Amino acid sequence: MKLTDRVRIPQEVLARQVGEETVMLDLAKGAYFGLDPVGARMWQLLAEGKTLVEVCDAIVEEYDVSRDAVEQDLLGLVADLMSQGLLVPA
Amino acid sequence: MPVTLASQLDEERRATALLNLRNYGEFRRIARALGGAGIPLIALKGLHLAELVYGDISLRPMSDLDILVPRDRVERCIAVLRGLEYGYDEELGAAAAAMLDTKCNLGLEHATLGVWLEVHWMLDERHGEPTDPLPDVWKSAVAARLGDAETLVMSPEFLLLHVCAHLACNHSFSFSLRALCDIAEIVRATPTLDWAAIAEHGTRHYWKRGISAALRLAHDYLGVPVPASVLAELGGDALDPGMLADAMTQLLGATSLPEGLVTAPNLLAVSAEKNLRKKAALLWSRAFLPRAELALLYGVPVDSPRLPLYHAVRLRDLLRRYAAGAWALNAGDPALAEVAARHLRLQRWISGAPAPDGGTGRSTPAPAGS
Repeated sequence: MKLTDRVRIPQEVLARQVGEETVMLDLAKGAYFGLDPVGARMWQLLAEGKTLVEVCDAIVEEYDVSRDAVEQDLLGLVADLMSQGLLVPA
Repeated sequence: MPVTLASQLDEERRATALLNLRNYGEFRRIARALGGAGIPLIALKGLHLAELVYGDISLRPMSDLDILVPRDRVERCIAVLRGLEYGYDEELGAAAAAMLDTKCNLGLEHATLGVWLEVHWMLDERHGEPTDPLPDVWKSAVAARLGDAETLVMSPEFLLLHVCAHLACNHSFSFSLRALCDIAEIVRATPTLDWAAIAEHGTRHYWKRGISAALRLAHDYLGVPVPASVLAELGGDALDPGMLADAMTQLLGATSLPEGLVTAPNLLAVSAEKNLRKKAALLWSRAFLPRAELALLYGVPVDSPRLPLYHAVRLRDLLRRYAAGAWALNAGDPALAEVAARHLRLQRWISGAPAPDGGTGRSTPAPAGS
C-alpha cells in the first residue's frame, strides 16, 4: 500500500460513530470491530475518499504529532483493516 | 457521576451501539430486498429515531425492527421476508391475508439471528375508524437513508404523533420514560416542526386525548417547548390533572413491573377489570386466538388439521410466560393491584370510554401533573 493510494469501505461493512469511537460490523462474518478516536478520525477521512497522504496531512494538523509517526500508524491501521476485510483498494 | 455508574452507562451504551449496528445491518438487507420486489416501506419507531433523530445509534435502544408496508403488499412482503429467513418454512401468506382486517401487524423472527421484525400495515387495531391517519402518513412520508439503505420514514410531524399515540393509546403509559425522551428529541432535532399540522392531525383522528396527554407530560416534566396554542387546540391544557399524575406514576413505575407484565398490558387490564363477563371475554380472546393468528404464531398452515392442537400449546406458552406475573397480580400484592387499576383507568380515559363509576375512575383526587 502506497501513501498515494485510496481505499474504500466494502458494501458488507457498516460503521457508525459512537461518541469519539467508531464501531464497525462486518455483516458477512457477523464480526464487530472498534476504533479509538484517532483511528476513528482516520477511518472517517478514508471513507471520504481521501488518499493516505491526505489523511496524514489532516491528522498531523489536527493532533500536532510527527508526520513519521502518523504515516507509520496509518499504514499499520490500513493494513490491519484490509486483512480483516474492512477496507479494500479503491 | 460516580465512576461505577459512569462505567456501567458506557458499557450499556456500547452494547446498544453493537446491537443497533446489527439491527441496521438487518434493516438494510430487508429494505433492499423489499425495494427490489417493488414493495415500499416506512421505517418506524426505533429504526427512525436512533439514527435520524438521536443522531447516535448508541443512545436509543430498540428491541425489534418495525416497518410499515401497504396493506395490499403484506402477503408479498411476507414471501420476500421468508427468503431472508424471517418467519417459518411453511407458506403462511393465506393466514396473513386472513388477519389483515383484525390485526395491525405481524411479528417474524429471524431463523438464526434472533432479530424480531414487526411488519405493520396499520398503526393500531382500530379497524373501520371513520378517520384513518394512514393515507396521510404515506402521503407525507419522506425519503431517508437508514443503515446505508434508501427508505421512507414518517414526516417529523407524524413521527411525533405516532410516538405520542404509541405511548398513550397503545400502552396506556405502562411503558418506559424513553417515550417522553423520544418526544423531547424529536422536538429538539426538528426546529422547523410544523406545529399547525400536528394540531390539525392530532385533532382529526381518534388519538386526540392520547396525543395531548403525552405532549402535556413531555412539556411539564421535560420542559419540551410545545406551543401553548397547540396544547390548547389539542385540549392538553384542560386535561384531568389527576389522570395526568396517574400517567406519570405509571411511566415511572413501569420498569419495576415483573418482566412478564411490562410487555403484557392486556394482563394488567384483565386483572383490574371488575366485570367478570368482560374479564372472561378478554382472557378467552387472548388464550383462544383466531385460526389465522394461531397459524402465524406457530408457523402452521391455516388449513392444517393439526392447528387446533396448538390451542393447547398456546395455553402452555401463556402460562409459562405470564403465570408469575398473573399470580403476583392476583395474590393480593397491593402495589401491583394499584398498577393494574391505574392501567385500566388510563386505558379508559385515553379511549374516552366512561369509567364504571361514571367519572374518571379514580378513587381519590391527585395533585396536578406539574
